[in-house]
Amino acid sequence: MRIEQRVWRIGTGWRVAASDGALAPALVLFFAAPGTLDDGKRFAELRALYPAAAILGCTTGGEIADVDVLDGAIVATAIEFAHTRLAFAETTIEGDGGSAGAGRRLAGGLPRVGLRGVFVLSDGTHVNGTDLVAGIQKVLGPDIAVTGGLAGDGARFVSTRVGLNANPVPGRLAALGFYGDEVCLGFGSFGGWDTVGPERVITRAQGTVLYELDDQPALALYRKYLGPEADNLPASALLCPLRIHPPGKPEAALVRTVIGVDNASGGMVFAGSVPEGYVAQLMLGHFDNLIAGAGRAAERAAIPQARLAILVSCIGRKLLLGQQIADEVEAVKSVLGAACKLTGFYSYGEIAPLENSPFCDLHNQTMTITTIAEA
Amino acid sequence: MHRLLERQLARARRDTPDGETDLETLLALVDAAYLEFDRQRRVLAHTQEIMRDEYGLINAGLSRLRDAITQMGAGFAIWDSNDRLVLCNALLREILPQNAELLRPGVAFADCIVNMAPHFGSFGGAEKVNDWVTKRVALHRDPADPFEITLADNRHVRIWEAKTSEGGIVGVYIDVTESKRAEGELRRAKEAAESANRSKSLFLANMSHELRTPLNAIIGFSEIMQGEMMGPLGDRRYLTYAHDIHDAGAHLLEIINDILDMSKIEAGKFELDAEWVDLGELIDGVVNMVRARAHEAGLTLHVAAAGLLSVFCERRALRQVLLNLIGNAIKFTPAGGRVDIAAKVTADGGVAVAVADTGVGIAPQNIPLALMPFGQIELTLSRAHGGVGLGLPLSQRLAELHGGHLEIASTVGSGTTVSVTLPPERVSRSALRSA
Repeated sequence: MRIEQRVWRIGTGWRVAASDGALAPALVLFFAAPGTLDDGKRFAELRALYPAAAILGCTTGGEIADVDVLDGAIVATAIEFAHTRLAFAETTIEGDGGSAGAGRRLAGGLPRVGLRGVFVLSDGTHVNGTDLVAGIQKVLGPDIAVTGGLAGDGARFVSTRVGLNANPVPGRLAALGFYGDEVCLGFGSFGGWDTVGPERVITRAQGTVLYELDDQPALALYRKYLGPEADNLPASALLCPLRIHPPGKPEAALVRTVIGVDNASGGMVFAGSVPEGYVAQLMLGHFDNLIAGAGRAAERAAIPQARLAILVSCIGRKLLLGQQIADEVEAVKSVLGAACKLTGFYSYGEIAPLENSPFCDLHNQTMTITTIAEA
Repeated sequence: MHRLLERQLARARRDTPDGETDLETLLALVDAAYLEFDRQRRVLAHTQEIMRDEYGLINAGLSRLRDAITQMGAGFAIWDSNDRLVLCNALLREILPQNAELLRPGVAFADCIVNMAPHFGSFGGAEKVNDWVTKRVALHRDPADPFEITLADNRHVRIWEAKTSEGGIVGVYIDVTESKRAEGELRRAKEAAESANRSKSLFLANMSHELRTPLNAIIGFSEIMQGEMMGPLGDRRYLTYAHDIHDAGAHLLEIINDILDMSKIEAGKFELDAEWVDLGELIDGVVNMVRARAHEAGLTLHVAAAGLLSVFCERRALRQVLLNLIGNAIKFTPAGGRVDIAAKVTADGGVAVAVADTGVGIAPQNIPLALMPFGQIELTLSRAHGGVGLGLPLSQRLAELHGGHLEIASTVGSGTTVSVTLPPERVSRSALRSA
């Protein structure tokens, strides 16, 4: 397994950031700041650089190039595998069955024999991530681990793009399947946010839209929590994730994040389902705990001889950590070691297996890591 | 150098073509770092503020709950998943004084039960102390419906227990000794009342029989005297007296018969002796009996019968019902009024006989009372109009014995309509006559 990483920025253009020498990559993963892909030129340049590779990528809320967190850049990582075989599938959100239907179509497009793991990139503003993962697992079953993330649009939440062998477009989803006995995949996901305040019950919600907690408007509670940041809704709601769990089952807790606000109805749109009757608790982040959380995710994802780690971290973490954001990537690097190259992006939702469970789900506000090694 | 500043410097060097950083750039970086720490301080200050607010909210909720648990009118306890006491209120210690010392946070439920064992009375049929302990602990771990235990001091405690979401048990314990005692008293009073009622019915049935025998002699002999069957009575006043004795005796017999019928019905011993009866003929017969009385009272009687109708009923009973209703109508209607008797087929094929008067009427709240045996006495109508108030209730019971019913519609001051309805299966529209 050999890797070459290139970074594109305004002014400097494409630069090689790291390289294992001349290689014949089967796969190029790229993560691009919103706006950088609009004229299609960057994708054409990538295609020209790697004419034989499959090129998969999406827009972001920040790009990770090893220990650097960038804004306004494109990070492309070309990977040459010694033994591992790959397969791809893609679809759009417009088809039948909504997000779950899209998940079923993606999974159905990947041959089942020899499949070891799946990495998914999805549109981040039109997709219910919970339903998407459920749809994928309905076809693949619980034995195949699914990781990935929802594409980002900075902190704007307007338009997110995904592309497979084409310039990324909105409403698209793509999956990459890893095949063969030699490929080893590791997974780790961790938040590090702290719950604050009393548990409240979700008393009014529909799908991914939350209206009331304990019969009180949820938006009013968020405004109180956000204080002066309330003017920057919905982006600032990322500073207050919502931890939810079924009544009496705190061990099945998930963290949900706001991706939009409907001021007319007072509804808060989340990246995943917020079922009525669930117990909810607001969270706040402490800088050091979030950075330590990224390290915990890396410890879980660590596998021997990992050469590449794909980091999908939540835009909310970046919003809170600000200029300190590279600290969480450094925390990951210090666990995985110098030999493991990092790439990835800041997302609108992370996909990973649940802890202590064979099932995968949509996570929010986490650092989610997929590590790849070849035996 | 601080890690953040160091990283920013490295970035700045990398991003400038010659790798050199001028003072202005350096100052901008330092400034950004200061601003960043200002922002972080604001975030943390706001976080602290929220935590303080939320802590106040949690604390207020806790105080409310603690207050409710202290003030509630029942013993209350929460046991954790290891079955150890988390908290209980003072009332629980009062209800179980034998455990008052033991009931402190951390005590095991089983220890409390073992301590209580010598004081138990009975519970779920367990006779031995060990059985009681085993049964009680098992029920506590897997609670079902509420149940009661009896303590050795004869107190009864009602227990409701349920699982909490964290795998513990929440329990409510109520001393129901007082309500058990009241319940027992009520039950005994009810039994006594039922027994008294049975005795009354039996007494009335016997008395009626005893009263009727001498009455037969009074009525029979006064009839003979009235008819002067054994020669003239001499002074005409004797004839008037004999007439009065006969009428009074007949009236008394009617009352005794009503009481006897009512007693039989209440005792469930009235049996119908039904036959096919021509309704029109029956109504005509009754009207003929009361026509003179109506005339004397200055009333007019009007009959509208619906053609040829036969009803399957006890002739004597139906006649009595009609006599009662028409008699009442005459009794309670002032001179110059009218009484209408109408028989018609109902929508479902039954028959309804309605007796309508232009009398004093009955207030709505008094209708239930008028239908109660002897209720008329309470209404103080009997004093003015005579009678014991059995007519309406007896008519109602007789109608019901026929599977029918009796209804009263009345407006005070303008009149009353009483209808007796018999069900379709008792009605034939052919001209069938009793043999």
